[in-house]
Amino acid sequence: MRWPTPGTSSGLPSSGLSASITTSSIPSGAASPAPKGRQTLTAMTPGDAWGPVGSSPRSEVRRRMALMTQWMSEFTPTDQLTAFQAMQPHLGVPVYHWLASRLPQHDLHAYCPPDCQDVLRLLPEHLVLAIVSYLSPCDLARASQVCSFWRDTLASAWIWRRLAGQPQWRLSPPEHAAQLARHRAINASDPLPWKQIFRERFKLRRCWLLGQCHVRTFEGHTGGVSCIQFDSSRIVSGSHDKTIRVWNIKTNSPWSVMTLTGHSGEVRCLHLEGNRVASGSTDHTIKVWDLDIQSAWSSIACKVTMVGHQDTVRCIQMSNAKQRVISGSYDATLKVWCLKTGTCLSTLSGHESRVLCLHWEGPLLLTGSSDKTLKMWDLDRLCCIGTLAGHSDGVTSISVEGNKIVSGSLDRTIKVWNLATRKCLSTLDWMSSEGHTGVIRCLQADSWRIVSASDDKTLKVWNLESRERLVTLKSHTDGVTCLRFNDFVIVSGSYDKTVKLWDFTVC
Amino acid sequence: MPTIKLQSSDGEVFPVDVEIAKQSVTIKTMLDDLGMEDEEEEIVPLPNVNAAILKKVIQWATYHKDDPPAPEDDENKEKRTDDITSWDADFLKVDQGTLFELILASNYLDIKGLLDVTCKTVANMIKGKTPEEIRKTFNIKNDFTPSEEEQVRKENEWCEEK
Repeated sequence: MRWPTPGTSSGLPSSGLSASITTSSIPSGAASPAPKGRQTLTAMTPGDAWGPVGSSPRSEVRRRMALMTQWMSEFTPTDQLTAFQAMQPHLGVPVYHWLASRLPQHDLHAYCPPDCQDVLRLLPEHLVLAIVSYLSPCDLARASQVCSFWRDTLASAWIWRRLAGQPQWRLSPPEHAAQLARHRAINASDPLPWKQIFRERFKLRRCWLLGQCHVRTFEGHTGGVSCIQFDSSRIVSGSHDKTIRVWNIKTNSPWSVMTLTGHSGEVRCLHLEGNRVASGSTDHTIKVWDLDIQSAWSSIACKVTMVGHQDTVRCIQMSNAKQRVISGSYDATLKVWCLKTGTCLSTLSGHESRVLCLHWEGPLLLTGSSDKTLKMWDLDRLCCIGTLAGHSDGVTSISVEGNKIVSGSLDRTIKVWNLATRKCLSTLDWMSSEGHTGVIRCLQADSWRIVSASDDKTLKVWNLESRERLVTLKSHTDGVTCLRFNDFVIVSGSYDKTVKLWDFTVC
Repeated sequence: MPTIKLQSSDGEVFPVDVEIAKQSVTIKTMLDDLGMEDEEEEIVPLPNVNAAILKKVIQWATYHKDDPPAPEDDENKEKRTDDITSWDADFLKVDQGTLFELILASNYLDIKGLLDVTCKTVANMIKGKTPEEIRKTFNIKNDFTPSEEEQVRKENEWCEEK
């Protein structure tokens, strides 16, 4: 940080927010140019002002004071303020006492012109922040253009960090960490540029809100795609053609990099965790695959086959940490399996018809069924602890976000439920909410949005809080059967045999 | 109903119901700490608030005496400014100097409801305005050089892009 030289208006950041000013580096000033003009702020510390400065003799103090006085007289009012703000953390009680005693009625605005109305200068910092916290990002960006004082005050990291933490601009924990790490890598010594960080998130969200995305299509399956998973480097898709394909997300090559064959029926469900994939099929079995091996050896990728269900395995979730797989089947049961040995550890019965979807989180398991209900299960006690009724047809998908359950159904509606009270909070349908005109095949929710896929060939993005439909995405030429999304992309699969990647980062 | 006397910085004394005055956390703490409730003649000096502003604050507190406590701020929620009641909106049709004094007074007296509504009112004076309109509103001089102005416009144009 450089002490401003007389006559320049650049120099120290003049934020009125002392938290954002770090003047501690000023006194050292070893790298500072202009040896004649360079002064250390120690000379201004009240306790030392009238005594010796370190080893400096009185004459040196006088010389420095004269220099400072000259600077002040040459500074523009803005520069004076900048300089004073930079010194402010170094000033002690005697300075304020002296200042106050110089002002009529102890009023700091006593010398202001009668039309002084600049709210940001008038009010103390914490009240300025209270006012500013009511402003939208666009209001803040416009207000930053008012004058240099407003620009510097509104550049406060506190303001933008707070905005970046609000649900609609929050990233998932791993992406949040990745974004901060990227900015730290650019300039490790500086504090994080929160305005810049926020701006990136703002632009990303705007792409989502406007449906601005680049669509990539992955072709290769010879039957409809029924299930999909992805991570940072690959997409895994399961198809009616009985195969699982692993596509490389990073290259633009549209052909698959690996095909997993082994199921004797359609692949109906998948779960990818780390380098493992668990799949369920109309052949009644579950297979666990290892993606770590070379693609040419795909026939030996299957590590375990789990046999026990009496009908199609329709939904599946795996946990490497817990060494468990949970599956739901058309035989109306759920089974808990040992990931390593492939043995069935327990069976949950209660649904009156096919189990279509499940969501597993800690000891809580949520399931949806053709019997039109959702059920909540306690996995520790292996019993059903609640039934949510309300859909008028089978429940095809479940997602949980905070205290909300979101469910999609063959009745063409999406319902939002309170997890604690188990009450339905709202229903999104075609008539009242511009919802889907076909059955809902899949959905997922996060901190601010729901994305749903339907037989009507579209994907829709919804505001989770207001339940307002934000965007309808069209590109598939047949019903959309499955989707997953993260902060940046949606991946979807369709009866049209393709997998599509909707990338919101490129606009 | 017991009353206390509040004295403004310029010496004027206002008798106020204790229950109304206690909307100020500052006064409430003072009364609780000192056990001053029964002493009728006690005068509470408020050296940071002048008579004109104290009168407004008492007027606001009297109207809002039966309000539930103001909700805690939720940093996760977008803060609204369109929920100011019509009584408060009329009450705050004052010159800007008075509005800023009210913010300072409600901060000093720690009256969250009044602080919230006055801050919202100021925020509404900024919201939806161009930089030039904001300058006019607060009588601020544009101290940017043409090149600085161009730079700051570029830095902030992301909010205008469609």
